[in-house]
Amino acid sequence: MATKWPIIGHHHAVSLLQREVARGELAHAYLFAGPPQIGKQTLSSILAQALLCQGDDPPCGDCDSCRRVVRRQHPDLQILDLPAQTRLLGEKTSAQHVLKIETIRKVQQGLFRRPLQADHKVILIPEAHLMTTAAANAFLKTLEEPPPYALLLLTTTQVEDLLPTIVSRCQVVPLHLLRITEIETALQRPPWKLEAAQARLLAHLSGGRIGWAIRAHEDSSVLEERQETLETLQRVLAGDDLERMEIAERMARLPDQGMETLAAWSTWWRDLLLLQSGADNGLTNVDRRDELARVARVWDVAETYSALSTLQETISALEHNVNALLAWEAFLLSLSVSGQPAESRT
Amino acid sequence: MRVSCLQENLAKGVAIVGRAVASRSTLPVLENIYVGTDDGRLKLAATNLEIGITCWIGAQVEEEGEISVPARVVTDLVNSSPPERIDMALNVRTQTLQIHCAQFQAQLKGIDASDFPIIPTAEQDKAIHVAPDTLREMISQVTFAAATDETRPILTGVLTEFEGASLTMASADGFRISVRKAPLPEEVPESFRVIIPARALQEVARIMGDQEDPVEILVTQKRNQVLFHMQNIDLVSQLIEGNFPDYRQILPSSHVTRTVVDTGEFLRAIRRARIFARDAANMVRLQISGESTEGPARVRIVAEAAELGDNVEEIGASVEGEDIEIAFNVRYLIDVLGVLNSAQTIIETTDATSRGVILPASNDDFTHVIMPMHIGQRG
Ligand SMILES: [Zn+2]
Repeated sequence: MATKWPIIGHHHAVSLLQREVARGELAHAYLFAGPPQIGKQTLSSILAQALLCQGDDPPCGDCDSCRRVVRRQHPDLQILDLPAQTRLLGEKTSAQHVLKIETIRKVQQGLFRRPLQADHKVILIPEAHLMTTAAANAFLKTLEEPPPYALLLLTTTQVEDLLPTIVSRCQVVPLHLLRITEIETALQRPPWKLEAAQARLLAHLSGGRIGWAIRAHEDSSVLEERQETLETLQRVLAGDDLERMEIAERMARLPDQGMETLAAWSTWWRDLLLLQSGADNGLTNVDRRDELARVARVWDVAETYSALSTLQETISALEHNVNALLAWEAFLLSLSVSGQPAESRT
Repeated sequence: MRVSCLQENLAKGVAIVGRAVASRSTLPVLENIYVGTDDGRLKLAATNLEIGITCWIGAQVEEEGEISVPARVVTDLVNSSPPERIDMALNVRTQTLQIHCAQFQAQLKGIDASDFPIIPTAEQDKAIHVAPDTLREMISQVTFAAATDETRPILTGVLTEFEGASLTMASADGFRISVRKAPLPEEVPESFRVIIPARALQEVARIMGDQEDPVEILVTQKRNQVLFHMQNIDLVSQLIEGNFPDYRQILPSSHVTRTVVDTGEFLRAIRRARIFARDAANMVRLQISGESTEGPARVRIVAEAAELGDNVEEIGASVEGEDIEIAFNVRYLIDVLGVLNSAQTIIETTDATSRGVILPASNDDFTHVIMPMHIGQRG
């Protein structure tokens, strides 16, 4: 059996791939599908390492090939994302929102040149759903008849946005959110070596997204921003209409931050719902248990439920590009004040 | 690294490897030129992942080292330097190459040499030797007929077969086929065939210059690359994957008319016809007739353009077989006549819709096949 792959979680997928690598029975194309920040790219990159490795026990992580894959500098590995497209087509960064057919064509031309250093040539498309329909149709040709040494690795968060013909020609590897305990344990080990309490906090806040937990550990502003976001929520709940309208205006102006705020708030309300229904574990915001418990005593379940569903409606409205200010105002003004239903306010 | 060399040598080396620098690539390092010390010489290298060129130039090495620097900047810098000694020093910590020549001094920000792809260089033991003149001629006779359209990647390559003591190169773009054979000085231990990008072969011919020693050709063990070893220069090309169409089946095995013309005279007439053919889908008609009461055997070359009028020219020929009128793309005729290397040209034809064969009269090592045009299709 091969060495243990440096992947957190995804045991089923990893052992399947290890088996296929060991037996030399790899498919020509894999599609890793699942939510963001759970390690899809890491897994596809390790698979690329395993194939390109020159060591005895692939992926050894130590040979020239393995190191080049980590540095994204392997001549037989082409990573096809928007920055790569910018370089390939010589275009401006701002013009990049989708993967174009011209890019796919260029890559296809190169694919017929045999590998330079390794026995394989790997093409990695981290956000396969960004291919336009024309690009995807062009790529189908490669999926149907890849050169024998080619390995095509696609990852996506939106498998439903891919052409069904693309999906059907890949071996689909569905990946799921990690268990909180898996992340908690991993964070206490090298290279992160977090204190137990911090590991527990990040693991819970991550909601099963190891990538988020690592980012929050490496970049302290992630946690600070979350802190701020939840404090804003407290201000909303305690504030009057005027203050709420000010906050709505601020959020409407910064769409990305607004969406992140709503995502963080939804975890808070979900926690509230959990506490109100008597569940004590499974909380996301473990560091705010006291505050949540206090609010849980004042609000009733129906109110929490209604707030949560209004919030979800707001998210989907914003995703469909409605007037952001109106959506935010409608949402914030509908919330109760410290447990009082909105109608009963004076 | 601390090295000195002559501006003239460095400029030449940079120009040679510069042909392999990638213009647009996902890997920034491919837009760089590798500069490093190698056994008392300076080694320069570049690759676009299809072609890799390595070149060694004489240098005085005081301290070993390696780096890669932006090709465009280093080329401009070296070309604009006076023909004097150039001193180079690498600051490893900042990965900066300092270039000093006469009055000026420049700092080039580089990329770590370990990011540069490993380009194989020659191990002479298993090489196949080919005379440089032969190789140059073979390349000129086949590469022009390879496809430039990348939607058919295999046809952008030249099928290169080593069999016994002979080397055969063949290309095809869907409208024409070019096949050239040449004897090898010694038998290859094991026959094999590979598809080499036509672009790579054209580079080989270009950088071969006036080399007189045989060019050493070897294919890497994994059959991924072919390497051409020349004096102080190695060119490595990735091989193209796939099955080359079986051109031997398409080569006409018989003919009805065999015409022999003077190559120079025919080419000059065709070039004049082109002036008119340009506006008529590039079509030129050959009206071939044997000796008769109307006169001696001849080829009438006819090009008609609706706006310009027409051009008719007659050249003497020796004709065996039936009279025929057949039309070809004038550009294809000019391409092949330019590389034929024979005073007399043989044209073998069957009928107006069958492929025509162009052969040199002086030897039988080159065969060129062209699809005729339909005479009704002129514009
Ligand atoms: Zn390795």
